[in-house]
Amino acid sequence: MTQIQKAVEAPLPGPVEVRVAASIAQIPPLRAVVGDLAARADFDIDAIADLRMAVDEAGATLVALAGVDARMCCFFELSPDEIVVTATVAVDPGTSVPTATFGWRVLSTLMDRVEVLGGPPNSPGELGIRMWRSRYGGFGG
Amino acid sequence: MRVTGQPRSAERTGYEHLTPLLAEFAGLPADDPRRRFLRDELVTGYLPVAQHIARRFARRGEPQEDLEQVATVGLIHAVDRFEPDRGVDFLSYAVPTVTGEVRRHFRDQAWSMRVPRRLKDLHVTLSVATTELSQRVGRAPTPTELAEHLGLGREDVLEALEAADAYRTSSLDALLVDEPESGTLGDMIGQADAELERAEYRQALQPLVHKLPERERTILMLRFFGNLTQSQIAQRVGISQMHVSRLLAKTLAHLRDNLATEG
Repeated sequence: MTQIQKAVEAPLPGPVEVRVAASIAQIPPLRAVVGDLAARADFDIDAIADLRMAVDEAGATLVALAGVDARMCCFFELSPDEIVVTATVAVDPGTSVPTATFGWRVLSTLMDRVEVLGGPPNSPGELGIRMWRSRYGGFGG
Repeated sequence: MRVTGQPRSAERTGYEHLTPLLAEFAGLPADDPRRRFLRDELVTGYLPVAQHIARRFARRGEPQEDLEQVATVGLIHAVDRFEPDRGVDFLSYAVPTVTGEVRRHFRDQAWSMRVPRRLKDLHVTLSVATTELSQRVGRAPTPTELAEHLGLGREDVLEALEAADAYRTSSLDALLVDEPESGTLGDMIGQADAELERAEYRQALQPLVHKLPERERTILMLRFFGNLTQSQIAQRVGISQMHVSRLLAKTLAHLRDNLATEG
């Protein structure tokens, strides 16, 4: 009768890159992308929800720092047991990602590891957040 | 007029004091000004019955306020149509009348909902299955586990999870609750509170957190200061994981908006 497919055997989606205007209104699609990728990778529904919230939080943090007309780039990488999200945005010189905030605590709790990406040498006016979440992580540091 | 010797009059229902009013109401001519007063008294008096029935239908995805309203309409019909001299007591008459009204509401409303019916049903099913599976395996289930448990295709589950995020907070979740806090829950919140006392949160965050509704606050504290997963919180607070997820996301957005001035 009904054949239940073993979905874990379905191939993982490749890396996904999304570029949007750095605006709060653009965060829901990013959240939807990470939720969908995590669900397809068969992460448990706590992890899916955590990833969605983390993208919300990181996105909101970066949007607040973004320069005028900046774009935000979000890169999602999947391996069998981990999702890595990298979000970057163009900022005015001298800006930094605040980490002594509740928002940062939220990110650190939801994800296994969170890192600030200070403008690399070839793009000084850029800031970002990279975060890792494994399949069974998220129990807070 | 017979108001005594009714079948259930020996039982203490808590509504005995209303019985004489019912008789008086039924005996008055339709244009008697006192009818209106009596009707209000009766409807108010029997309201707990309507609310109780509304609660029995709570797990089906309709807002509780709507259900209570419909049940109250049913109760008004029952008060208006009840004939005390038939020898049936009011509750035996009212319960099926109110229940019928609520059922009719479901039949009429089912198609006007924002989320397609199929997904709506699935949402409720998923919510229940998530709770069952969480208890069985000790962590939140994956979409594949949900699909296998329910005998559904994985795409269906993925689609329903997506719809769940668009779905308004359902009465399913809203109703499964409000057990007094267990001792362990209280302890955990206490520890989380101590954590919130830390200097970096005291000034900006703490006042906002204290202004949150009780449940939102508890969930936030347990997740971010007590390090519990959403499923663990769901079990402890007695609501579904999906509801925890929605409440958390909403609370964080609220805090973000209000912390916008924070360094």
